Amino acid sequence: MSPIVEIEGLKRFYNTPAERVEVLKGINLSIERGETLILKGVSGSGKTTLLSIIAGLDRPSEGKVLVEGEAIAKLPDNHLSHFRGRHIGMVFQHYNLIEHFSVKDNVSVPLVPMNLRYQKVGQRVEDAMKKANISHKSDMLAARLSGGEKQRCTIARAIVTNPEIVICDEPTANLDRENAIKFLDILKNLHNMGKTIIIATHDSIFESLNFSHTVVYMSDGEIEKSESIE
Amino acid sequence: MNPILLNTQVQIYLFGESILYIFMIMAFIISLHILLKWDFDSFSDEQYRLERRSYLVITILLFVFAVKFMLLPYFVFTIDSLNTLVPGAMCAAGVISANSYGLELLFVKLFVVFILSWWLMINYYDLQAKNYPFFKIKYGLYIAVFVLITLELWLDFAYFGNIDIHQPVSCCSALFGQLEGANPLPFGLDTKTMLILFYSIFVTLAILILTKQDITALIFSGLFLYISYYSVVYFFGTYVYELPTHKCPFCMFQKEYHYIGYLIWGSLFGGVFLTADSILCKKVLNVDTSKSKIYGLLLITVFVFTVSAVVLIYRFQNGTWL
Amino acid sequence: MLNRVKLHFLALSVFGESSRHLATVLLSVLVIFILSSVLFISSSIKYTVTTALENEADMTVQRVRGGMLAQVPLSWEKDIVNIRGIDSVSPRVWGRYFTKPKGKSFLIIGVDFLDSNANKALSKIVGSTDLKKFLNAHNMLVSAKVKSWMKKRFYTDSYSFLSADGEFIKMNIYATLPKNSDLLSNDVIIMPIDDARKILGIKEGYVTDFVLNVPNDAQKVFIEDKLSSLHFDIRVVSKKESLAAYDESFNFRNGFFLTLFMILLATFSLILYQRYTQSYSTQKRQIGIYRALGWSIKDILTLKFYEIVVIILGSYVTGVGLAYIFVYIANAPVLRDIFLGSGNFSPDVVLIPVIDFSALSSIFLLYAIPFVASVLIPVWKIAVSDPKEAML
Repeated sequence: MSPIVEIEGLKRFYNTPAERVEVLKGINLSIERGETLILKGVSGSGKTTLLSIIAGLDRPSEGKVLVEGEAIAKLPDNHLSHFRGRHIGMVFQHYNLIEHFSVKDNVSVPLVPMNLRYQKVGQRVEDAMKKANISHKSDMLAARLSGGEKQRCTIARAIVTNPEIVICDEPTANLDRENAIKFLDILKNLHNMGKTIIIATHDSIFESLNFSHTVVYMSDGEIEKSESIE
Repeated sequence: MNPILLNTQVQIYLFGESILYIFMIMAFIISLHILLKWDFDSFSDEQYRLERRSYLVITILLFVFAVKFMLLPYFVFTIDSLNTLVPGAMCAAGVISANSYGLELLFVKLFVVFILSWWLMINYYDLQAKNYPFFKIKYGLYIAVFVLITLELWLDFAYFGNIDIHQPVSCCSALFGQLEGANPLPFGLDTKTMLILFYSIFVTLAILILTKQDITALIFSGLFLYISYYSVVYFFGTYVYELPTHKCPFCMFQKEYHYIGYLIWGSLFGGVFLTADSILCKKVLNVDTSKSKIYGLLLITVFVFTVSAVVLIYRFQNGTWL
Repeated sequence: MLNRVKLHFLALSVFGESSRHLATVLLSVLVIFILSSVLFISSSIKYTVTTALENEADMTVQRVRGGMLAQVPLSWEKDIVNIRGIDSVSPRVWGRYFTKPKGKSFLIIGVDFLDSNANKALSKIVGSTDLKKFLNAHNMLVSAKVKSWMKKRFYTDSYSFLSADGEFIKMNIYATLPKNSDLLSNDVIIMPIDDARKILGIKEGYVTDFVLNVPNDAQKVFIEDKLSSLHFDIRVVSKKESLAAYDESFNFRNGFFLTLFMILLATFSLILYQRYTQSYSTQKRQIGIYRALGWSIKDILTLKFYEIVVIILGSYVTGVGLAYIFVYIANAPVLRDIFLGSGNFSPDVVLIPVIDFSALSSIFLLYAIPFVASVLIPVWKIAVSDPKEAML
């Protein structure tokens, strides 16, 4: 089976009037279906940009990016957005919840463009909240949740579309140790469900991950080394 | 100042048209830019910016189409209400013939709505594909639309600015009546043959659409529009007015006739436009438009049923034909 | 198009963020309220005048000498009656009486009580008045406005007119004309034809004008031509011409308002544009999140479109409703005077509710087009918010 993410010669630069800032300098990476990949590196190493490009949030300046066999770099907006909605679940560093929506409404955001029936949306949201262990707060406003609850709400939102790929950007940065360990349990569940998981982090807690995964070290826009851990 | 230009409705109408035109200019500049700079394979920021800008053009054209769609009946309504200011006029027919620009304006208007709806359809199929395959047709067509709308705006002002309220015009009975026994119908038809033609063209058109004979269906929809115009003015209209001598395409827009003209002409033009748009899209873009063709046929059927019902209701209530 | 899920989100974005929309809605309601009040008043007055004129005769025959209206000899009546297609010709004696050279003026209408046509029309107006008793003395019927004006000047039951010959003629106030909505009768005095002649200085055998009806519409133009060729100094005014003249004067007033309104509208548009541009910075992030979670530009534009439609329709219905209450139930204090003027016996009119398609569609277009026009570009800018926003 072909890899779920294939990246070849990926470059990303910004042209400022004075100079050309290269954030990614030729990345080659391939991620297998069901693999868990941890991107490590100091801030500014290009982790977030790489994640954004895989998620289709940012566009590459050069190179080939295939996700699920689709060349997402040149997809028109409506196709790219729907691709993103269907295949990729996002867990953001700052949660990115809509503060004045309830948990339930937050979780249903990705389902809105899919033209699903109301009952079906309700069912899927219910399901996702149960998996992320947040059902008991379903009618609470997102603004009133604690940090850990916000995290779980974000995870429910990320898996509500049942995506193949879950992308997490610094997921434990705003969590205390106890909640971070809980997050690792959730990751394990996702892994057991067969999801491909990509995490950008510099938190050492991921060293205690107790299932097989790959760690990729990035620095200065390039991949330094990668190692598989059983 | 010309008192016509002081009329509230005329002012609102011209105001609306002018605002639309400002947006059209904006869309025109962006379209030119897109036509010149578009390079879908490029990864440059410029290209992504153009793709975002193309949404502005789409938004503007949707806005323009929606407003033009509302302004068309409003235009008819406005010139109809001007009949009190123009001596001799009893309805919009007299007012629109107050100078030579009137009819031209009406035709350009209908044509603009037709082309705009075609544009929106092309846009729909363009966005469905993954590589903007029709962007050249789309933006090229827009340039044509822009020229047409420029003409329309000029005609708007030329028409309303040149209505002489001291110059008597003819009323509809003089414009459409049978003067001196001459037959106003095309090809020397009489009413009976015309009606036979009307219904048989409708049936043929329906069959052609359902059996996907596109080019023939296109020709027949044009033919149907033509024969429908005469049938409504010279036959069905007289049943709307319940007066065999009252022949006018405009009076039926008035309140006395329950504004039924909007339904009759709206469904006719809507149906024919939709059908023709779908066929043109099919032929030019090679995409499947059978669904919208069916909607077009449905609208045409609504039209045929409405005009037939008017006649039958009259027959039923009065026990006699006109 | 709009399924229940999207409706739910539409409701969230309209009512969940009501503080963001509140100012816009309030401003819109105000703008629509002003616009519809003006148009409601003017269409109501227009309706009243038009219906009043509808009841008038089809044509009026006058005599013009040296560019001025002159008295018409009664002998013309024979010539007019001779034209086929003309119905019910009646001579009228009427004119303006000025209390002082520059003072208030009354419209004196002389009624020939032997003329059955005129009688019928009059009995409609005066209803219960006993005509015979009325005729026996120098009696007059006055409008309520005229009566109160006279009362203020201590003419409680009679008024002395200075006739054209310089004599005083004392007329008793017999009764008040019923207060109706007729705009044209607020300064009217009705009196027997002989007294009217004396006061207005119209000689025996002459009248002010003739009115006549033409039952067949198609013949009107033809008959007008024939009438015009009867005498070299004849002038024929058709009902349509007077309607057009009134129309023109209303258009002028409306045009004046519209010009003022345009300034208001321009301000409104600018404020809207600014509000939506400013809301960009606050919405950018939320829309970025939507985009990151799979909403396309089209999805966002659709949501925003419906949001705007809800705001527009909501404010429209509220504004028009308030204007309806203000104009037709509260009778439009202040604004009414601007329209009717308070010069010569300002009419004490009850505005008749007239809701026509014309006013409603005009209000809608005049408000909705600038609204959408001013928010279109800001909304597009919001909709194309970069999904990268969500990663920042």
